[in-house]
Parts: sequence; C-alpha cells; structure tokens
Amino acid sequence: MRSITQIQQGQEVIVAKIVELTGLPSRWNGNIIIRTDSNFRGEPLFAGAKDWTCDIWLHASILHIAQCYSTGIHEGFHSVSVGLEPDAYDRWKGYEEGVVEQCTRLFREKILEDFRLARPFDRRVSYDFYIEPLERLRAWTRIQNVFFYQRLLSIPVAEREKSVVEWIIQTNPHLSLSSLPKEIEETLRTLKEPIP
Amino acid sequence: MTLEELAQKMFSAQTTAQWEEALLALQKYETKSPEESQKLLDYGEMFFMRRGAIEAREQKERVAQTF
Repeated sequence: MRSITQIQQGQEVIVAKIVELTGLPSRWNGNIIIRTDSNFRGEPLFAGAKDWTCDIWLHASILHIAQCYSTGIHEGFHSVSVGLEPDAYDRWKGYEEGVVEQCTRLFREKILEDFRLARPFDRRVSYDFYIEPLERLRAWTRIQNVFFYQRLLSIPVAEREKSVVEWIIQTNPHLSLSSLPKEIEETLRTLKEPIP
Repeated sequence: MTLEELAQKMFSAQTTAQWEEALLALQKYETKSPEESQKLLDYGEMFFMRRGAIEAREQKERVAQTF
C-alpha cells in the first residue's frame, strides 16, 4: 500500500505531466486530502473530487488500487481546466466533467508512462452519460478527438458550448444557429440539464 | 426512492440546508446494479463540488444583505 507521501509525490508527477501536455497552468495547491465520506453501508460517495480551495480529494477506499492513479489524473485535469468556477461548474457540469474525463482516457497512458504499473489500466466508465453526447457533437465537427478535448479544456467552461456550436457550423456551412438539426439541439440540451 | 428522484434532490438543492438533506438521502440510498453504483460515484463528485457553488452563492447573498 502506498504511503500518503508516495501518493502526494505521485500526484505531483501526474499534475506536472498534465501541465506539460496541455500547456495550461495548474491551480492545484499541492494538498491531497484523503476523504472517507461513505453511505450507511460503508460504500464511498465518490472516488475523487476537487475542492474550490484547489485541494484534490481522493477517497480512502481507492488508495490501494490502480484506480487511484486514474482518479488522480481526472482531478489533475480539473486543476488546469480554464474558467472552472463554482457557478460555471454548476451550470455546465457536462462540459467540465465530460471533457476532463475524456482527457483522462486519452492521455492516461502518456501521463503514467514512467510509473511502474500493471497494464491494462482499469477500464474507465465514469461520466459516460456526458462523454456520449460530447462524442456525438464531435462527430459533427469532424475534429480529431485529442485536439477537440484539449482545445475545449483551454476554453472557459461557460464558453465551451458556444465554441462547439461554432465548430459545427464551420464544418457544416449549410447550418446556422437558427437552423441546427433537432439531434444537435437535443444533444446540447443533454449536456446542460441540471439533473444528469 | 428511485435514482432519478435522488438525483433530482441532489442537483436541485439551492441552500446548504437542502444540500445536507440531499446528503442524507444519498447516504440512505441502496443501489440496484453496478451501473447505478458507478453513476452514483459520478453524481457524488458533482454533488460535493456543487456544495462550493451553493456556499459561494449564500456568501454573496449575505454580503449583499449586509451592505
């Protein structure tokens, strides 16, 4: 089992690699908080989270398993995500969690290349309900996946939807803001529903 | 309570008191499948991050009332 110091050092390497890959500065304050929030049966209420003071929370239940690294990457991407503020997050959760999770899946191999970890990594299924609609929108933009998500990460959370719509219209000049197909309208709605 | 009803409670909470109520419901909720358990972990992260948004709003309102 890794010690807290090892987890902390591992997260520092992860965040440094994310900064290098994305070119975005991290707001992580260097603190890892081990949380134990559980339901009445002792099951964890989350795997990880990012506090608004920029602490990274990891749940005690995942510390001894490989998922801990993936969760650390997911939370590390939150720390570089542009325009991540409480109000923007509350309104645009799909454009934050979906983008951050897809970045985790796309860059995990590269980020963990120097870690001596068994492959294959744990299968990520987090936030599929946001990634699926984002992928439907990406198909309309015909932008390559790494470029699409990396670019979104560098756009303020509250402006990501607007950017995606602009990219769709650029790729499909016969479309306009007032003539988006129903399928696109519905997908956009899915991503900003207050209830996921 | 269904997962949809729980999610409604978790993501419609606008005050810390409502958030605490939703937390209690989340703690009591029994998942029905591994898919639901995964979904609930994702909801959990968003729910805890929402707490900050609610607190920030309440703080802003308190300051507005003071001046």
